[in-house]
Amino acid sequence: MAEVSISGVFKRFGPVAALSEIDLTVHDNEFVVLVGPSGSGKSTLLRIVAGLERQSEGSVAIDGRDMAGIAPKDRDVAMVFQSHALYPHMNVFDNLAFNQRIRGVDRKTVDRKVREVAERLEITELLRRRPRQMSGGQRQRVAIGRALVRDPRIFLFDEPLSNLDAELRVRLRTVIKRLHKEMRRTSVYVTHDQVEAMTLADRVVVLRDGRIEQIGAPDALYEKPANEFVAGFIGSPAMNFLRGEAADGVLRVAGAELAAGPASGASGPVTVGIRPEDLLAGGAEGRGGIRARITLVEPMGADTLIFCATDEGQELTVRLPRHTAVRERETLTLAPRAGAVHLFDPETGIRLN
Amino acid sequence: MIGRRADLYRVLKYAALIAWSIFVVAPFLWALSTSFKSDPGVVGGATYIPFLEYEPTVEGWTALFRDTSSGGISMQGPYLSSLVVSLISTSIALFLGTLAAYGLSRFTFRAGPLGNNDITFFFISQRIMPPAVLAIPYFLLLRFTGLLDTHLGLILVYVAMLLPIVVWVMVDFFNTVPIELDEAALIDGCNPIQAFYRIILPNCAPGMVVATLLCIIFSWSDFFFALTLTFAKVQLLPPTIVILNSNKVPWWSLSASALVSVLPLVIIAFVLERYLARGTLAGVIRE
Repeated sequence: MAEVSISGVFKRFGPVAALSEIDLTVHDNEFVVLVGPSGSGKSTLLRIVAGLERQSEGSVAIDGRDMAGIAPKDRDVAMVFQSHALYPHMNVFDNLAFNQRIRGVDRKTVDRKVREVAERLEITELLRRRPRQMSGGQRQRVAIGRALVRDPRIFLFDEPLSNLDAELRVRLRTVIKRLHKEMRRTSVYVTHDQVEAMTLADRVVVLRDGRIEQIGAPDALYEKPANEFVAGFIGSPAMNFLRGEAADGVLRVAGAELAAGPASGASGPVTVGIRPEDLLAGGAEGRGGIRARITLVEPMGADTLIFCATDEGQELTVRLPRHTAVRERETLTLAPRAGAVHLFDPETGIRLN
Repeated sequence: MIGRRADLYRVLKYAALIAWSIFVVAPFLWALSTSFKSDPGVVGGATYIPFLEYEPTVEGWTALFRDTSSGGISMQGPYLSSLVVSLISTSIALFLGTLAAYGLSRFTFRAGPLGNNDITFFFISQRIMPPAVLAIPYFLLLRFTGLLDTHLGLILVYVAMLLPIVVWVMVDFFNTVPIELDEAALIDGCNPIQAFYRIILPNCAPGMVVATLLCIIFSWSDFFFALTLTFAKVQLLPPTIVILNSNKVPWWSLSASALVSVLPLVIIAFVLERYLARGTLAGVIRE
């Protein structure tokens, strides 16, 4: 059992508010990812849970016990750092064993636990090496191992993959996901990479400027973003945003008329959001079609990204299946997939439909 | 062609090193040779080779340990005193200085408008004043506290002189250790003191070596404070040796005592040297 309840947390650095009004409960065995651009306060929130930083207001409780005044070492949390933070003067074995030794666990048990974890992470042959004698990926494996050996109540990850190259990042991501599936430990994971957030999380928490923008399952965030920021942040390439007008169930956008969709009482100016993969080429012009001129074609292998501009000069990204016969400077007629149009208030950015 | 150039480079390198070695070692050899001479060997012009050019004698060495009443120097007492004073003051300065430096490197202090950098400068600024300026205040201070002419008094003065050096060297070293290491240790089950001694300090070994050497060299060879703050009960090595210079100079004993007094520094330097070169911190921060 390990549940983290964060309620009413504020963090101020002088006059700057790094976190405001954070309410979040991480349930037992849940994998929650905090995601947001840099400066959104996600790392600060994680460090408050770890006890490395103290909140200005509000409370953090683990399993119902208030953590105020409780040192990091007594919270039974393990943390993986972005800079791996392995102890340079110890070899891998000693790095993995450090926590257990400090806690006075007997030699035999320590030895067994370290070897188990080393095997699990396939780092057995590295046990005698020093951190400086290993590659970045190996070091981060050891850093994950250091957390595993402890078998803590809660795992905290602070951008553990951000310093690795793309291929390693994908590999270690699956390692982390598999470990979580096997061990089922409450985990809080911080990243600025929305792909990591989507692939790893049971629930994603999107943060911006120290506030929670939305909390939800990855699919829910993708399909029903609560506001324009979340819509733009989740998904790659990012969602297209167009200026439009809504009236009587009809949506006028970029010279086209679209059905505004059910349950949309919106009227007046709106921001229309359409994901690149929800734009289909070849729709009829006028009613239901947006005319756009292709400015750039990027074949990606599995599919092709097409950048184009509407007659009014608004830019659009479209994801089409590969082998789509399109060329630059051609004109496309694009229609959104039914039910895949997101409407936002142009002033507040809040979702309307 | 390349091989020849490499050879030439090696030859030049070793030639330069040999020249430097002669430059460094020659005075010691000269002192060693002198320590076995007696009056005729010293006064009759420069002589180098024992048995051929002069008759060697161990008088210079035995005099070191003989009582003053029988014409000796009785060096054991001052030697031990110097050893005790310099080792204890170095230890205290290292203990306090590393803690102070760690604090200044890791925590934010505010004293009105002053912050960490000002406090660090305050430490270092203690060494701006020349010792001669400090001698009289120290003298009065020690007399007032009854610590004049005691080991403890001298140790306190040395600690005050050494502390800035330690703080200065170690703040720089601690600043190179990323704070994530402290944090990892804290989460891993250390209290702050354990994090300091088990994780941070071992990674600053080269800094400790530098600080230790600077402290030992200063406290072991200090002449000025030893002369002004002790006189009867406590006698340290440097004044004892210098006093040999007074009337009729026993060059042989002077040379022998000089060699013996350099010995501890040489031993310490050799022992600590291997910790200096190692780049312990490589691989802490991802390259």
